[in-house]
Parts: sequence; structure tokens; C-alpha cells
Amino acid sequence: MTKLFLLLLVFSFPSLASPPLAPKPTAAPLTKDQLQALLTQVDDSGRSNSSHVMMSMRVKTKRFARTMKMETWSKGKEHSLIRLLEPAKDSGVATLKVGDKLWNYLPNTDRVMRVPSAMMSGAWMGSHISNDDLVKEYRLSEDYTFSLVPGSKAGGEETTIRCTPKPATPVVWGYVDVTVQADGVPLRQEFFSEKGRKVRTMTYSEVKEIAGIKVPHKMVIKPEDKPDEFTEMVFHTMELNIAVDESLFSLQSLRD
Amino acid sequence: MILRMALRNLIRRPMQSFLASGAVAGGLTLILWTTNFQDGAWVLMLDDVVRASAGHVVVQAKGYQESKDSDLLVVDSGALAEKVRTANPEVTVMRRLSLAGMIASPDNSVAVAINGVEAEAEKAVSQVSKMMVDGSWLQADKPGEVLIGSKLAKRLQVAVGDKVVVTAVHEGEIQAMPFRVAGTFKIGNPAMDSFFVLASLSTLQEMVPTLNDPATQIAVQVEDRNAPPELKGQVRAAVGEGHDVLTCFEALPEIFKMEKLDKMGALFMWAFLGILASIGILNVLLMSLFQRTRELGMLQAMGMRPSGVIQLLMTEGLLLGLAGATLGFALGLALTYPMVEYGFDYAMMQTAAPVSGVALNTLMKSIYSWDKMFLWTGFHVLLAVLASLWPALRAGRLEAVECMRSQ
Repeated sequence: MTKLFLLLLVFSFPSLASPPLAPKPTAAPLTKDQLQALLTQVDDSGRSNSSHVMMSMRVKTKRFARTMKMETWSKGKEHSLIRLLEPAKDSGVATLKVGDKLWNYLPNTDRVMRVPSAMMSGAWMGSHISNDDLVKEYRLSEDYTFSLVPGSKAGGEETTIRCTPKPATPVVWGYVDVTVQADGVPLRQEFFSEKGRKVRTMTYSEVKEIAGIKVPHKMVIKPEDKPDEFTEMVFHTMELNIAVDESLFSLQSLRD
Repeated sequence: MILRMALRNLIRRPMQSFLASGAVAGGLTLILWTTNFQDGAWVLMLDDVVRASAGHVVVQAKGYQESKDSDLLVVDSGALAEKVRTANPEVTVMRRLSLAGMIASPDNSVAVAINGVEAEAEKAVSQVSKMMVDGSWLQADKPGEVLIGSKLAKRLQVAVGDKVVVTAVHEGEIQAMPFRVAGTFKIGNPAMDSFFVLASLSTLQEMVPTLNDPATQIAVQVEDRNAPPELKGQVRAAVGEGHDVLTCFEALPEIFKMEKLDKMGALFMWAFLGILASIGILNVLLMSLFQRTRELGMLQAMGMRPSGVIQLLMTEGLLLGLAGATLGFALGLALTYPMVEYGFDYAMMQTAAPVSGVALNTLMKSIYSWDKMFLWTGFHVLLAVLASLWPALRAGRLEAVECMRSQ
């Protein structure tokens, strides 16, 4: 799957190595280098060396609607830990990611379970995000070819870039249309099948600056074939580039 | 003389005789038809399972047989396979790689069993190749293709030519690769049509980058249904120590146990059926005894010894058994014939279970199990004679005077 920006805030934080500057708004068509610079900014959007986030996730499907509050920590690209705080019955449920491995902890049974490959397709916490989405990461600027979406206004406040996965990139999408602000902050991603059918839309909003990094604080995922369903993630408080001990990302701390 | 009298007695009561021998004939017909079908079905099923899931002899990583741990793989499998071919050019050698994983499309993702196979070799032994509903079998020169079941295609909402992403896990490392759907198959079993994925071996091996030329098994197969006993030793000598070399009986013990259990269950059922049929003969002879008490007394008064009376009744039982068995044998043979020639296709039975995760040929055919047919026929004649023993002994104990008083 293509990288999910806000999930990356929670699950992976590669170091932010001087992202290229966003192209200045101009009426002239954007060059390939400028498009790549924009996508690199999108790829690195909101990334930091470490983080501590309080967030909520609202999931609505045809069968249920639920809201969860979570506390998350991350360190580098490889380590992240999410612990549910609310609802009370699920309090203590936790997910640990180390590299491309996932573990879940269920306090009711006091069991830590490695998420097996067979369950990677399962929904994470009942949302429209799969376990597989959490561990896979591909960069738009490197694993896709890209061009301006036909009819998109280039160089304005918003630019929509069509990203087509390279033949060897293992993503299911035919292409992804990424709409990005002039400053490189993502606004929307639309995922299409190879036949051009829109499958999923992710929208980003409530952009705030944290430690000098612009981060969308709200993300909504909507499956196109289920118009009444969505998953909404909202960040309430966020600390970036803070000191986080690596021992926090262990199976032992998953239980704590 | 006894034989003629027995024959005449049976003809005098045609309906009773017909019912008694008819019961034997009906039971035997059913047993012979079912035996031949069961044996035929097992022969075909075992052949399918052995060829598609193992081989007459199979080489696996040490410990795989016990743990079925998909991380236990044979490395340098191509070189090992070549050694086996060199040692015995008559055999067919093929490699397979099985991984647990997931297949995803834009609309869905499903946990599946992914099987890497050598396209041409596998086509010759796999029933899946005969059950394609769309597209074509894997091509050796198109490595990035997969075959999926029709139900899986529906769940993923993909068709031939569409892209899917296969994710596999080996020793905890996740590898993902894009594939194109080359074809879809319909085996008729929901589990296999939903969770079975076939890809070319060479492509799937790329998902295990830490090992050189890995395979889950090297299958060695012969043309006949049964491999010569020395084949295992030949393969062992060719691949050397460091691997498990197993016969199909050792590699697939469950299926052979299942066969034994199934045949044992049928044996008891059919023996019971034979006993029920023989009770028909017992009943006819007892009835005959009650109806002919005066006649039997007369025979004794005319000089027939009790042993003669016993012989008479037992001969009647024997004749009834022989008539029923002969008729049953003929009917069983006649009903078996179309099942041998044309068979029975159970493809419409959607809930049929795959055996050991193998797609089976849905066309089942009977075979003539001559040894069992003659044994069952003889068993029914024997049962008829045994069933006549009690009425005969009872008749032998009759007093002539008492019999003459009987009305």
C-alpha cells in the first residue's frame, strides 16, 4: 500500500534529512524535478526522529461505530507502540511494531500475539486500515513514476500529481492521485485501480506546525464502494523529536 | 437324491425361495458395486494426492515432516533434483515451494497458501490444470503470474490480466511482489477455490531471498501408480544425508490411514448387510420346517435318517445361497460396468472436501476388484449354509411319530 501519512506519524519516523524546498507558486508548468521535490516533501511530511502522540480514531462501518482514544510513541522508522486508553473495555490493548513485524497485546487474556501473515490482511482495530498497511511503506518519490494529473492547475496553491507504481513496486493500485499544497503538505490522496476505478480516498486537514514541521492533524479514509463508512484519525497533542527510550518498544513494555 | 429333493422343495415355494435368494442377491449386488466403486475412488484419489502433494518418494528438509514449518526448506533444490534425475533417468522429478501469505487487490486482501511450482511438470500431474475457467496455465516464460481460484478472484474483484500483490513470510521477514492473474480455476471446493494460489517456482523463490534455490519438497514420481521399493534408497543415495527422504506412505500417513479406516468401516457395514441377508434364508428355512413337519416325519418313517434330514435342509440353504450369490455377482458386475467405463462426476457436489489440500479429479471410476468380489460371493454362500444350520439341526431332532401327528 502507499504510505499513509498520518499512520507514519504513529508507526514510522525516518529521520527528516533536510527535505527539499517546495516549489514556489508559479504559473509555469512544474518540471519533473519540482514534482519530485513536492512528492519527497509529501513522503517526509510530519516525520521526525521520535514522537509521542495522543490521538483518537473514529470508525464507522455498516455494522458498528466506535471511537477509540490512543497514546502512541515512535522512534526512528522501525519502532512504534500504540496503546488504547478508551473505551474502558479495550483499555490496555496495545500494538507494537518493530521493523516489519507486528505484535498485539490483549489484556483480557494477558497474551502477546505476533500478528501472523494470515492475519496481516485483517483490519487494524476494526478500522479501514489493515495490519499490512501499517508495516508496508513505499515512497511516492522513489517507487512511483509521476506526472501532473491532466487538467490539474500546476504551480498554484494545490497541485495534483498522478503517481503510477513502478512495475516492480508491490502495491495494488493502478495509480494514486496526490493533491498537495504548495508547501508540500498533503491534502488528499485518491487511490485507483488499474482500470481507473476510484477505490479509496484519504483526506488530510487541520494542518498545524509542531516543532517546525507542518503536520495534518486529521485524516479521513473513505472506501468508495461503501459511502457510509469511514475511519477518522485526529491528533490531539503531539510532541516531536523528543527523547524516547528504545526499551519502550519491547514485548515486555507491550504488557505494561 | 438329496439335491433333487432340495431343489424340488425350493421350486414348490417359489415366492419364499425368490425372496430369500433375492435378499442375498440384493445385498451382494450392493456390496460388490460399492466395493468396486470404493476401491476405484481410492486408487484415483491416492494417485492424485500422491502426485500433486508429494510424490512416490519425496525429499524434504529435516524436521519438516513433523513440524510442517514452512520455514524449513531444502536449499540448492535444483542441483539435488538433477542428482536424482541422473541416478534414475526413468523418474519424473519436480520441485515445489509452499509459503503462507496474503494476496491483495485494490478491493480486498485475503490470507492464502501460496504454492510455487514448475509450470510444465506440475501441469502434467495437477488436476487444477484441467479445471481452468478463465485464462491459461502458468507459462515458464512468464514468471510474474499467478493462478487463483474463482472464489478468490471474486473476493479480490480481479480477472485475468489484473494486478495483485502477493505477500509471503519467511523466518519472520515479509516480502511482497506484484503479480498478474494468468488464470482462474474452479475446483468445486470452497476452501481451495478461496485460498489456493499457484505461482511459478522461480518467482516465488525470489520471496525467500536469504536461501539459495529453496524448495519445500523435491517430489520423485514414477509412471506407475506404485513405485518400486528400491526407489527410496536410490533417491537417498543421490541426495545424500542432511535431508529427509520419505515414501508417500511416510510423507502422507493421514491419507493412507483414512483409506484404511474407510475400508474397515465399509467392511463391517457390508458384513452386517450379509448377515442380514442370511437371516432371510434362516427365516425361509424355519418357515419351511414348520410347514413341512409332517412331510419330514413321513420321510423319516420311510427310512430317512436324521442326518439325511439335516443334509436336505442344508442343501436347500446352500442352493438358496448359490442362487442369490450367482444372481448378486452377475448384477454387481453389470452395475459396475458403466462405472468402470464412464464413471461418476461429482463436480456438482460443491461441498466435496479436498484431500490433503489437493484438488482431486471429480470424475470417479470403479475398478473390478476381482479378489474381493469372489471373497464376498463366497462369504454369502457360506453365510447361507450357516444360516440353514440351525433349522437343519432342529429338523434332525424331530421324532417321526410326533411329526406325523402334526397338522
